[in-house]
Amino acid sequence: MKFNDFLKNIFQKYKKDEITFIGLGNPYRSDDGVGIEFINRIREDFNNSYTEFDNMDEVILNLMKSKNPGLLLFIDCSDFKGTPGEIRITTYDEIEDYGKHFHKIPIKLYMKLLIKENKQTFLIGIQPETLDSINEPKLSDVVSKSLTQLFGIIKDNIVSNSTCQVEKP
Amino acid sequence: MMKKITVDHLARVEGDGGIYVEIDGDKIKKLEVRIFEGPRLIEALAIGKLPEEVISITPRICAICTVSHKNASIRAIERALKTNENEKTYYARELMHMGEMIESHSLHIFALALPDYLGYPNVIAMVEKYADVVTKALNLKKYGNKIMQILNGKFIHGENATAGGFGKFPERSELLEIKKEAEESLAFMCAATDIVGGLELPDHLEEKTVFVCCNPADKKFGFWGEELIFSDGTVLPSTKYKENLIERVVPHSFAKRSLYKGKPFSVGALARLNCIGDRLKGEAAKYYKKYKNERWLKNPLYNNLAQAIEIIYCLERIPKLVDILLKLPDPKFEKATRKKGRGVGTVEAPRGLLVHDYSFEDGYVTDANIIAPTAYNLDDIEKYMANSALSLNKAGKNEKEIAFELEKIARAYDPCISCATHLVKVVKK
Repeated sequence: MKFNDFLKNIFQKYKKDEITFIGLGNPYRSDDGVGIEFINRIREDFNNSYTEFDNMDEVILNLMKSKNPGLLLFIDCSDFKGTPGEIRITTYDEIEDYGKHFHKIPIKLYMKLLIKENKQTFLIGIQPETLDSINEPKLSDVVSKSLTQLFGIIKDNIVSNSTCQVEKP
Repeated sequence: MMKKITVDHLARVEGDGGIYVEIDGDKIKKLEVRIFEGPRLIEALAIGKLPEEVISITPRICAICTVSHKNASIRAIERALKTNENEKTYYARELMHMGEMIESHSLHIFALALPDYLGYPNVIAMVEKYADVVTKALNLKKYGNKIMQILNGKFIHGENATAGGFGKFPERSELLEIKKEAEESLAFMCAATDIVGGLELPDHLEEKTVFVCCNPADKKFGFWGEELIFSDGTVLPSTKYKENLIERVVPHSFAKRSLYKGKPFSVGALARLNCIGDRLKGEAAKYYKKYKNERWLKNPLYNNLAQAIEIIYCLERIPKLVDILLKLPDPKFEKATRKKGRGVGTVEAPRGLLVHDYSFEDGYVTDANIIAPTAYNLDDIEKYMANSALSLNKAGKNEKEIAFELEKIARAYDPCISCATHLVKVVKK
């Protein structure tokens, strides 16, 4: 299934307030900041958007408690050996079991707990071109272009979907 | 036959370290806990700085025990520059400290250590059977973060607490929220302590050691004090730490080591309970009495149980602290009364004794020494690993099985390798 169709399909199942976006990454490492930048852009239209610095634990644990159905989408820079800028949707089973985590809760644990509570969750990964942390780190052109494309697809799907109608001010 | 065991990267600990062991028959030829984390040079950064700058710089050593470093730094500075600590500030600092204890201990017990004992490769795999425990543990971790956020402005590297007081004391509603959540979390933590207390712990590594922690005033249990208390009965002023906990450098590690009377020793939750656990009250005392046994003095794997009992202590202490804080008016900011002097701030970080030691001239730092608990524990960690490797080798265990048990020992200590790497001085002769 095409990326666009996949998202359209998912969004049709949920009301807007049942969908949560969490952007992960480090903006000081160039393309690693793509998840954070995505949230910065979508926040204006979408209240349930958080970066990993916005009490992520609380957001996820609250979503777990909610009786409504829920969809949580993580957006992150991911090295899946694709071409730079390539976007891929990854399910829980496709994420490597990460036993080497330190004191940060791995997103796979959150995904597992959400699935246990009958919620849906995916990781939208974007292949980085550079993780440079010096010389004024910023998104590479190719990742920036992909981000714009992703942002457009998500916004279009939410806006075009009657269930997920974005409220106008 | 020679066996070589290498753990390139210690999993489920903070920072970057590994283990290397060579066993030749019934002898350990080499055993090294290798610390790869680069030195942070934080002590050097503190030199020439003002007190308010040092309070912001030194906790950057670590994002896990940031509040412990903050409180140790504040205590050292206030002692060096003779700054009064008023009652409300004292109790607010204590409450903030408990946030870190709860956050750090709950993460360590449930997400990092427990999978070892329940037979899971990691906490994710545990969810299948223990989803409720994992979720409640994450809620407890979140609660710890919330306390730090309210008291210190942020849960990592907050800047609200400083020498002389707080930028802003918490609102009444925030304090009541903190109190309510402590009361609601107690039942879960008591039940969880029974899970940890019910685990069968191996005895092949056991050997008596000495434990050290801060000795809180008035024979109370707590997380700081002006004295150090040892499980051999010795009590010393904390300013004498340097003469008694002797530091040295080893070639395979960026972290310094320390010996007490020429021997390794342990710090941390188990040390606190072994040295001052008989001062606990309420439910914490009940669980301490229920599980305390002679093996606590020789088996570091009990550290996780000690951490669980300490969370109970915090959850019982927090409502009392809130009640005290609600009665006290916000005090004025206390000012330093001198610009020159030396101060030692000793606190109990989740992983054990933490020392900040500064000297000032004309209001600027001229000397700084910071020793984090993991650095104190490293010699004992290696000692217990050697015991374990020899016993398991004798019992016919293969390299993989031995490596797993050694990792378990390291994880039981909840090492914070980032903190442990402090400045190694090179002396040219």
